[in-house]
Amino acid sequence: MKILIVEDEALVAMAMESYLAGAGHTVVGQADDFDTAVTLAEATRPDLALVDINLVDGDSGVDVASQLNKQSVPCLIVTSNCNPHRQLDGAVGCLQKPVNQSILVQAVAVARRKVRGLPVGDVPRGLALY
Amino acid sequence: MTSSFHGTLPLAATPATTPFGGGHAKDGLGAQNPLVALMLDNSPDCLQLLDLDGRFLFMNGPGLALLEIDDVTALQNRPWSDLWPAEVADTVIASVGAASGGEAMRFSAFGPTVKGTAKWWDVVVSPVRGDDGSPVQILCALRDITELKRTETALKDALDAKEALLYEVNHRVKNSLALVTSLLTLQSSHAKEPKLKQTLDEARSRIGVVAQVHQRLYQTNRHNDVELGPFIADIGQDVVGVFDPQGRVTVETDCEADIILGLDKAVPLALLTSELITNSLKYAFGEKGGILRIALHRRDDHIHLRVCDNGAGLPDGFNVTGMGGLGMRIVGALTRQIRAQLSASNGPGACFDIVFPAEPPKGKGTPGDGAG
Repeated sequence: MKILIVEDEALVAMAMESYLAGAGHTVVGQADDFDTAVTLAEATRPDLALVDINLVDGDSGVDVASQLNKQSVPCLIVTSNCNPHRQLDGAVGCLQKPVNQSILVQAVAVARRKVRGLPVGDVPRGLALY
Repeated sequence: MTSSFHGTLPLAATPATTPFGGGHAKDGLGAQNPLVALMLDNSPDCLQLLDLDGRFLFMNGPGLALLEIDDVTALQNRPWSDLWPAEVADTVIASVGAASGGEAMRFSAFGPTVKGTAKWWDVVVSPVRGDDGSPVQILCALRDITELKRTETALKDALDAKEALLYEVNHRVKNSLALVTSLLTLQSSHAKEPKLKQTLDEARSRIGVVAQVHQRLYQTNRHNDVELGPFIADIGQDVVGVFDPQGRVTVETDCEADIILGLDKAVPLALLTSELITNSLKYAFGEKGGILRIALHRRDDHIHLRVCDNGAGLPDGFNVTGMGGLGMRIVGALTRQIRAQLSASNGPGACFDIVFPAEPPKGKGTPGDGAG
């Protein structure tokens, strides 16, 4: 699966890339602000974007999800502050940080099934689907 | 209002005829001019008139209500300072002296009403000038700022509580991270394989850097920024302490004072400094040891960090953008995160330079804080 990571903490992004690569996914890029995320998504056409809410340019993850949705790139929000009462446009769900490899890989699999309209199966701890 | 009064107020023009007392202005000072009566009776403030020796002469009606005075005659000719608590008497007397000399003075003070209601006042004491321009009486305008003071006190209390909470949080986070580093130290000391021991030591050192951030925050009672010089110098000593317990490596620091950086930059910078130091300790010196130099300076609008050693130098073909090991990958990622320029040079020994714009702290928290 081709995955774009939109995250402003470089070490968190590195760890996520390592987790995903270990599970056979390809991380097509890392972005830490709105413009880079949109540009990378257009250039790489990922199957899924993992999007943090708080980025270098503010709480622009919300806008990233909305814009990527218009580009037909599904997004899974990955943040330390998932709000069950606030579903973000264009996101399939929200995964609560911190994440370990097992949870992240399971969450990506669930998100993929949901995007494809398949039964999502077991949902890992910390993942809320919209 | 029908009056078209202009010019010098009768208060000042006719001091000798000013009646003692207070209440409705039309019965006292304002009897000489309806405009003065209107102003005195409709002022939200307590307006008082004193003679040049600071003895009470007159108070407007709203003033009597504000001070809860039923019988103003008891105040007549009494020193104005008698109306105030002893703690502010000096200020009150000084303000009378200033006004007598032709200078206005402003102060805020606590002063209960005659019935004991707690009040705070913003007080302006100014001279009332006669025809020749010299002071003939003193006008005191007292504005009730009790609600403002209450709000101010409530805000200060809330701020104090927040400060205490942040202090406590940083203390606890630091203690928790110290616990984690202790666990890793224990694991490292039981590791038989050198490679595993080194990995555990590196993890301990990296967590130690983040712990150092919180230690510094609670020790200095700052919450959003750190003074970089002592912080970087301490990290140098800490990292060397982990990887060179025999003391073969000497750390020399030349860090400029008063470089303050927000946590959004300080934490990544501290981590990448730690990685560069670790890199030198792993590859530069061998058994004989050497010198590690850390310099931090502000030049124009940029901050310049340099980490150098006098060891073996960089390998041929070394390129900072084509870095393979985890430590140098971390350096590269954190350098990009803080929008810094990283360069490396040889000789003698290895030198890494990091230059980034000196921006004011943004106030963002440590990595992982907030919504991120």
